Amino acid sequence: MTPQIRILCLGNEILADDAFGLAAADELRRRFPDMEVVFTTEAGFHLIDYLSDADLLVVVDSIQTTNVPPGTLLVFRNADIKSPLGPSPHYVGLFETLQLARKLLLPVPEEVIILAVEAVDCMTLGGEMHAAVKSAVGPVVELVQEIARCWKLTDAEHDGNPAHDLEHALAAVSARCGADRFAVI
Amino acid sequence: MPETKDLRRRITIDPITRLEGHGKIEVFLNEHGSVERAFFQVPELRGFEKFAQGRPAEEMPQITSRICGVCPTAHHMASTKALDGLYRVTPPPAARKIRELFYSAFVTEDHALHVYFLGGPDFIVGPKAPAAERNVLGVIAKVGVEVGQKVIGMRRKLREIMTAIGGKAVHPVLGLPGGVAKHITPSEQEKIKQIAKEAVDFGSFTLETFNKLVLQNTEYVDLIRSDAFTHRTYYMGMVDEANLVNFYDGPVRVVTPEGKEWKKFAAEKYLDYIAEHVEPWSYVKFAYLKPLGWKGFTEGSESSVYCVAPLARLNTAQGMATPLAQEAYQQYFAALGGKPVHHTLANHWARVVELLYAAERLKELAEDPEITDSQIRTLPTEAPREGVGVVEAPRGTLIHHYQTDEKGIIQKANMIVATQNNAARIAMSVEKAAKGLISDGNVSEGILNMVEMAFRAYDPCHGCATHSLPGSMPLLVRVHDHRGDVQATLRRDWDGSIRRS
Repeated sequence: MTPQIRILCLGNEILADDAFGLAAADELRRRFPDMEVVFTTEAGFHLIDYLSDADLLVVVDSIQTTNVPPGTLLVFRNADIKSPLGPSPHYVGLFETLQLARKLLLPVPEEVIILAVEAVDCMTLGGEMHAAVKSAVGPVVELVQEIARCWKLTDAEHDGNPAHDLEHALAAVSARCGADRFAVI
Repeated sequence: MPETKDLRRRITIDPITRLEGHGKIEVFLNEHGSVERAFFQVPELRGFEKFAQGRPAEEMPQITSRICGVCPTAHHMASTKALDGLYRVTPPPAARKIRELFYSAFVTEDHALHVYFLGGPDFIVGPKAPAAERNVLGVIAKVGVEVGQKVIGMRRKLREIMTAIGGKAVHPVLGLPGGVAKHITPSEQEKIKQIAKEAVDFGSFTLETFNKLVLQNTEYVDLIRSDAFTHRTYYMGMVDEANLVNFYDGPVRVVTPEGKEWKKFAAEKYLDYIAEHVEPWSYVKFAYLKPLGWKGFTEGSESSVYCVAPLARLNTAQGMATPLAQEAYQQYFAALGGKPVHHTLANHWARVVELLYAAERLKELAEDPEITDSQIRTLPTEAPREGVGVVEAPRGTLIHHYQTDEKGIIQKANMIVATQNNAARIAMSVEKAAKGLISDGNVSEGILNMVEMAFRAYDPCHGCATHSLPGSMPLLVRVHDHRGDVQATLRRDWDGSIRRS
C-alpha cells in the first residue's frame, strides 16, 4: 500500500524569513501537483489539526539556533527530539503538540521528519527573506522529493528502518546540493 | 542603591548581541555578589508602522490576523473595530452581537487550551515537579487522557461555530467596517446554542478540576501568595457600562494598586493615558500611564506601571456579567484576601473564571433572538480619517490605531499588543526573581526555571507570530560583576539544553 505522505509547511508570509514555509509550499505544489502539501500560519497547539491521518509527516519550517550559518537546512526526526518546556505557554510548539497528540491517542504518524532552515530575521513585519534563506528553497524541495521517493520504495528495497531511508535521501541530495547545506541533528 | 547613571556607564548596547529570537536577561551584581539590577528583554515584532503604511486600511483585518498564529482573531477584531472608527460607522445591533459571539467562542477556546495545556505544566503539575514532567504530558498524566480528549473535542466544536460564522476558524472573513460579512441562520443558531451549552458545562467542569487539582495543592497556593511573585501595580482592562468584564467592547478602565478607579477612557483616547518608555539598555518599549509620567520599574501608588490580562481584568472590573462566573469571581477574591489581587501566578486562576464567563456569554448571545437578524451592516458613507480599535485579547488589552488619507490608504499606524502593556511588570518580575536567587555571585540553573515561571504566568506574546522551531524561545542570562565584566553566561538553547560559560 502506498504510504500517505503529508508535507506540512509552517510559516508566516508577512514575517521575513518566516515566509520560508510558504515559499517551500509554493515550489512543492508547482513541482509535485499530486503531493499533499499543506501550508498554515497557525502556530502552537493549533498545529494539532494538521498532524493526523498520514503515514509520514514532513514538516518544513524555520529555526533560529544561531549554531549554524543562515540558510543551513537542519534535518531531524521527531523520534530524536526531547521537547523542552518553553519560556511561555505561548510558545508551545510542534514537538510538544506532537507528543500531546500521541498521548491523546490521535492518529499521528510514527514518523515525522522536520526540515528547518536556519533563519536570520523572523521579527520584521513585511521584511524580505534573506538571500541565504531563500537559497534553501531549492534544496528543501529536492530533499522532500527524495524522501518521498525513498518512502515509496517497495518492501524489498526497504530495510524497515526509517532512519536509513532518511540517510539515503540525504546522501542523494547532498551530492546534488552540497553536503554543507544540511545539518543532521 | 547607586543611581542607574553609574550602571549606564558600564552597559553597552552591543548590536551584535541582539540575538534574534532570544530572550535576554542581563544581571548586574554589586561588590557583595548580590543583584543590583536585572534587565530583561525579549525580541519584539518590528516594523508595524512601516509595514502598514501605504496599505488600504480595509485590508488590515485580514492582514493583521497573520501577526499572531496563536490568537489571530484578536488582531482581526481590533482591526475591524479600528475600521468602524476610521469610517465613523456604527455596526447594527445584530452585527455587534455576531462579532461578540464569535469573539466569545474564540476566548473560550483559547482560555481552555491555556488552562489545560499551556499554563497547566506550571500549576497542574506544579513548580516543584521535575522538569521532565512539567510539560503538557505531565498535565495529561495528572488530569487523564479522557479529560485531554474532552478539551480537544470542545475546541473542535468551538471552531465549528467560528467556521459557520466566519467561513473559517483561522483568518475568518468576518469583520467589515460597520458590520460583519454574514448573518446567522436559524439552523446555525440551533447548532451554536447546543455547543454553547456544552461549553458552559465544560467551564464548570474546569473550575471544579482546578479546585481539586490546584487549590488543594497548598504548596502551589503558597507559591501563588509568595512575595517573589507579587507586584503592586495599576491594572487595566475593558469593561461594559456596568464595569463588568467584557472582552469585545466598552471603555478601558484602570484601577490603582489599592483597587480604586483611577481612570476610565474610550478607545480613541488611549494616547492620553498610555505612553511608551524606552530604556537605554533595551529596544523593547515599556508602556506606562502617561499622566503619571515614567517613574521607573517601581510598584505601589508612586508607580506608573500597569498590568493587563486575566489577573488585571478581574481587578479592574467590579464583577462578571454572567451568574456562574460571578460566583467564581467572588470565590476567587475571597480565597485570595480581597481586591485587588497582586499575585502574578493567580493569572491562571483568573483565567478559569474568565473561561466560564466567555462560555456563558457565548450561550447568552446564541440565545438572543436578534442574533439571526439580517441587518448586519451599516455601509460607510464618510471619508476615512482616523480610527482606534481596542479589544481584550486573551492575554490583555490590544490596540490598533490607523490614520489614513481620504482614500483609506494608511499614512500612520500604531499597535500595542497585550504584552507591551505588561512589559514593565514582566521586567520587574524577572529582576525580583534574579534578586531572590542570586547571592554571593552564585548563579544556579534554578534561576532559569524560576525566572521562566515568573514570565510564563504572563504568557508573553513577544515574537509569538514567528513559527520558528521549536516554538520555545531560547533564553540567555548574562551575569556581570560589579565592574561590568561578564562573570557567567547561562543559555537555555532551542532544544532545552542548558549551556554554561
